[in-house]
Amino acid sequence: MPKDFWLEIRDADVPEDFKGKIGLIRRTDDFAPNYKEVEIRALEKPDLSVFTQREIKILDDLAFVYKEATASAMSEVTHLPKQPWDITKREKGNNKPIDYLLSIGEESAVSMGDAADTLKEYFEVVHNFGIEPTK
Amino acid sequence: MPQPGQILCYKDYEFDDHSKKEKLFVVLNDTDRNSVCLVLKTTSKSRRYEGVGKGCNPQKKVFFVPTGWEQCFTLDTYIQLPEIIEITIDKLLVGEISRKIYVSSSLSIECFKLLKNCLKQFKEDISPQHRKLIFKS
Repeated sequence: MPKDFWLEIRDADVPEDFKGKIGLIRRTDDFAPNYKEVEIRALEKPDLSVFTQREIKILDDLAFVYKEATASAMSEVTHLPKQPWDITKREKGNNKPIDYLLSIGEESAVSMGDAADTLKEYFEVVHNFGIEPTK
Repeated sequence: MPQPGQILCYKDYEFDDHSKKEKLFVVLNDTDRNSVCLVLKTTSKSRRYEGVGKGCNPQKKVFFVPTGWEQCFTLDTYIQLPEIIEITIDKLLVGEISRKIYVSSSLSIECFKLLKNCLKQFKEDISPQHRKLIFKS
């Protein structure tokens, strides 16, 4: 989750632009009582026509894998040693952006070189067209 | 307003190494009727596309237009698929970007038709929203 969005919802207050669209429910996790958890429920049927089939499949897969997971369990799984978060923390410091290229492995369908070129061109587009990736 | 098949030229497009050159984009939809302009980016760099044939190369994710096929390109040009860039009409008409982008030329009707057919092969990577704008306009 983008940090900015978490800061907006961590007290279970629905941001103005999401009013009537999502509901936020405070949750507790007995195994991690110090963690803040907020469950997000859709109040409207979302318009998924902005997503490609590939993106929908990724979202479905993630929703399936983490359906029953608590926030602390998700956090544990995504912060394992030698994985992108851990590598970034060790090499760049806390809260630094994780390089997309860290997701490329030997089993990836794309080579590191092609992925790096594609990513470079993507950020050129973002820069020149003033596109905000998270909006 | 840009029309399907037209080439948009972005003057002083800034690259990763901070150099600035012209960059060409192919318009996919009829922007008169829609609020966004959908474009594909192009490159004349062949490094990633060695050995591709003229036209559609879905496995390499590129539509290759060699010099001489289309008058709109002065260099061998690779139209990159399937990443579709969405530009709002506001950005095209007002503001800083509007002063940098202009319609430079156009693909022939036949070539644009082949490009659209090529794009159809990327079913998993085009959203229903974009598909509607490109193929039903």
